[in-house]
Amino acid sequence: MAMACRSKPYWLLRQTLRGASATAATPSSALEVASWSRCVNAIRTYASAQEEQSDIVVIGGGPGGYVAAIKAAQLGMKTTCVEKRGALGGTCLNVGCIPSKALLHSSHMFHEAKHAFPNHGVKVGSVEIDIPAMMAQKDKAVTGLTKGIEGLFKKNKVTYVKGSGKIASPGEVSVDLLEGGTKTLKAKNIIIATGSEVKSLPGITIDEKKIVSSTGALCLPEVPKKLIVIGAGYIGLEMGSVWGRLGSEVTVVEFADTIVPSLDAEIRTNFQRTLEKQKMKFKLKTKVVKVDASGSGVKLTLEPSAGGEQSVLEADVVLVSAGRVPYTKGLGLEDVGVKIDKFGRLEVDHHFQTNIPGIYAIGDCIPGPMLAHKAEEDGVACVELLAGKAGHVNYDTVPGVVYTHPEVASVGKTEEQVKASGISYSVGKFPFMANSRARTIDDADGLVKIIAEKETDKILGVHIVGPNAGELIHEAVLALEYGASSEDIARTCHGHPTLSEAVKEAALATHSKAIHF
Amino acid sequence: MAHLQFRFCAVSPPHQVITLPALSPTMAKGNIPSWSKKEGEKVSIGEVLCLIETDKSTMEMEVMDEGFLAKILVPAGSTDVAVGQDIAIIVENEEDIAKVKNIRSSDSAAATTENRSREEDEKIFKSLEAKASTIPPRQRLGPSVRRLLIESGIDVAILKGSGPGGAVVKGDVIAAIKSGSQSKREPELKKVQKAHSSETPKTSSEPLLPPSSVSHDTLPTSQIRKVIAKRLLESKNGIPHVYLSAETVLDATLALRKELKVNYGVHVSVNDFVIKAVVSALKEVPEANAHWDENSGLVPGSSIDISIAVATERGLMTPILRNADQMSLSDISSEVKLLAGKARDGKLQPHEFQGGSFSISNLGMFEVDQFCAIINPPQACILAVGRGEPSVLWQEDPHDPTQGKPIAVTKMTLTLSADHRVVDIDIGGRFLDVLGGILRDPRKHLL
Repeated sequence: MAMACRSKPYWLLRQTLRGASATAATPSSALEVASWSRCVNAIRTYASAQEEQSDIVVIGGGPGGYVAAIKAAQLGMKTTCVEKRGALGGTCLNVGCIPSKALLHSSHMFHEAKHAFPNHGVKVGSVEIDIPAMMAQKDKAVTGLTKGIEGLFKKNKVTYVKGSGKIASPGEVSVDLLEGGTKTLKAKNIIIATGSEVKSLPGITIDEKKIVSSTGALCLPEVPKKLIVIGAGYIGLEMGSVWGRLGSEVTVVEFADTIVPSLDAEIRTNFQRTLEKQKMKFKLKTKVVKVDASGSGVKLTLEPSAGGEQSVLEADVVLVSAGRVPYTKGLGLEDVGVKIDKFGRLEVDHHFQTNIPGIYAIGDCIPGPMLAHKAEEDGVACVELLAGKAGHVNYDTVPGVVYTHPEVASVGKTEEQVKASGISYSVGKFPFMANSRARTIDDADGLVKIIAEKETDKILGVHIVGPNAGELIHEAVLALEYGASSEDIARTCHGHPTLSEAVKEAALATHSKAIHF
Repeated sequence: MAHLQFRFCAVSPPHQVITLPALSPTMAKGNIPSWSKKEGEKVSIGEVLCLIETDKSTMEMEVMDEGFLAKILVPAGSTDVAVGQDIAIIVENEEDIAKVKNIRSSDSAAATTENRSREEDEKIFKSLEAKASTIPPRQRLGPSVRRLLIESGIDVAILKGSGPGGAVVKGDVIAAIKSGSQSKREPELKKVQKAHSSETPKTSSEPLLPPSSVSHDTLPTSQIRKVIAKRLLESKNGIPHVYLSAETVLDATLALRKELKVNYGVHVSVNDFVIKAVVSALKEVPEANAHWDENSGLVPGSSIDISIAVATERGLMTPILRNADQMSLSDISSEVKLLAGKARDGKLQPHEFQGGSFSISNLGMFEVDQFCAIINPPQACILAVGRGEPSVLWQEDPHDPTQGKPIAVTKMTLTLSADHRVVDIDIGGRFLDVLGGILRDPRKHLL
């Protein structure tokens, strides 16, 4: 402790104290040493402008990080957030959720203008695409939001440090500042919120030009004639959707035999059909054995997953969306001794603390669904626990949404999971074809499916394919949080005519009979 | 992370905030001269929590719910505490005491979890899960639950909620219907009670024993009944009861009663006479107006406050006639009627049922000759009054003991249940002797 300090102020102090008390030459007891080191620390704090003391330092300014930082500040803790991107919001705001939803909407508008407007008696001349303008709108949304978070930081007095953070030791983060130089941050607690990055596939080099990740797919300069998506997860399907609507011929190659494996099977089948109606092609149970980007386009050599005859598929752009992996590079975790599991995720307890006291982790870099809203929940709970309050995340009620059109949303258990658990259950379904509002807007693909325990009618899972599914699902999330029965939803008044009535009718169908179908 | 159960944003562990009660309808402020319990101490139902002083009187405030006194918000010696102001916090679990202290005393949220171990947290989460929600059931019932409750007639108070926070969900009602534990709000019990209260002018207090005409269905256990049940058990198990019975002859009392009614238009019941007689007897034998305290031993009563047992829908209530020794017979009569009415309407103020130095329970309206009542702690005695029954006694000739004749009388058996630590059998014997004597010759003693 005191003995280890070697900086100038410390020695000055020692001399001063020595001089002051002639008899006390060297510390003769631990107490003296302790009181000296306390003085030393006080001097160091005042003397050094390069160090800052916080209650919490959050490394990473994405949805997990910035929410945790703001919440911590609101709870009265001195908080600093370190982000190296140069903008806050993480993957989500910059190269994920926000830009993709912007493009999904813009491409949807184009598609509607071309195909749906005439049905509604709205005549437009020729509908054209202006990619730069589309990208400009997307960028405007992104910049507005990222600046907005900076504003929130100012409002809540969160210190924003722009740079790459590394854990030097528990309680100390050293930052390589973007503007140059380094800064040392001292904190009682550190929260790692560094998120995730694109999983690269062996043998495939992403150049973000012809072979892109979602990042590149969000800013292609022109509509690719042929687009191949490797990986039929929701990211690949959403991006495939965007360019498909804008005119690309999209083929999705997937190793497994299903798209989005976490979805309820019946919902998934329905969903796939809607995508196929939009001319998306699927090659399931297929693996990519070779990628040849030497020509002007890309040539993919495909083979059935189980092995067999090969085939070649050509494309202008290939999107690699085979998953994401936790990002913990450059944090110095090995040196500090923080444990990571075999998937690269930080192991944490129910307080979000890693094996090193004082170091916590949230979001995509810890186990759990890799979703922005789950990261936000983690962030709030972690910080509330640090503040001595009760924080908890109910992972059973985290909804999942796919923002294609029609949207897909689900919360709770799938029918397969319920069946596997051995609980006897009942299912209620209601197609949007029978929903008044869906018919009036001529957007009636999809259905609502509710699964409930047979005995108690307690809702176990709700799955929706259809317009606004991402909004409709929240009634179900609330119901699950309250342990509601399908009858509770059915006996709750729903406005008419709304798409939500489909949820009400599906609930009716679960424990009784639907009226409108 | 699969063991994480549910999400809540609870700020503090389950706790009960005690507020300053209104000791009278006009009371607006009070003082708290002293606390009988310390922070961190276990509190049990019936124990004195603190003293509350108004310009009219000083009252003991009793603990209504078991737990631990986590924090005293208004220190001893405080004056001008407003009615309704928070004065203390009681928690159910010992480990929650520290948490409540932190929450209430600090406004800085810079606390870390260093103070709490993982195990403590697990316990908090588990206990929160297990504890029923403090929000009244009504507000946490979904429409399906309400419908089922109405259709099945089940009383929601008997249901254990399995939903988040202990809320009652549809499955709970379904399970209750299945297990056949039907419990409708007993209209039959109400009918019987009403019949009895109008029929018998003799007495205005009714017992806890359920009338025999109620069906075999299980009665619902409301919160009050649970408390009463607990106290009765504690009393029976914890107090060494000794029982003394005496027969007395009621004829003179009955005659006096009739005279008051006919000649003076004063309506009093036999029970009112009994109360007055008990009060007089207690004046003569004050040792029976004492109680047993764990620390101090025998504590003589400072006043004569009679608890009258009144059976209500909610359970047995014991409104108190304060300073009954200062009341006349008609005062007693009107006060008993008032308190019994309030008890049945559930409108008793705390000071009207908390305390008391001696209890009387009267089963005179039933065919019960004699019974042994259970003492209301911390009192030392309870008098059980049986019915007045026609009987034949041998009256000795005062001049010739060998001669005598049978006379028809109305006799009544009084049984005193006493805490043997406080009331020796000779005190009990003396008390019943005096009491019987007063009832045998009320004119001499009561007028």
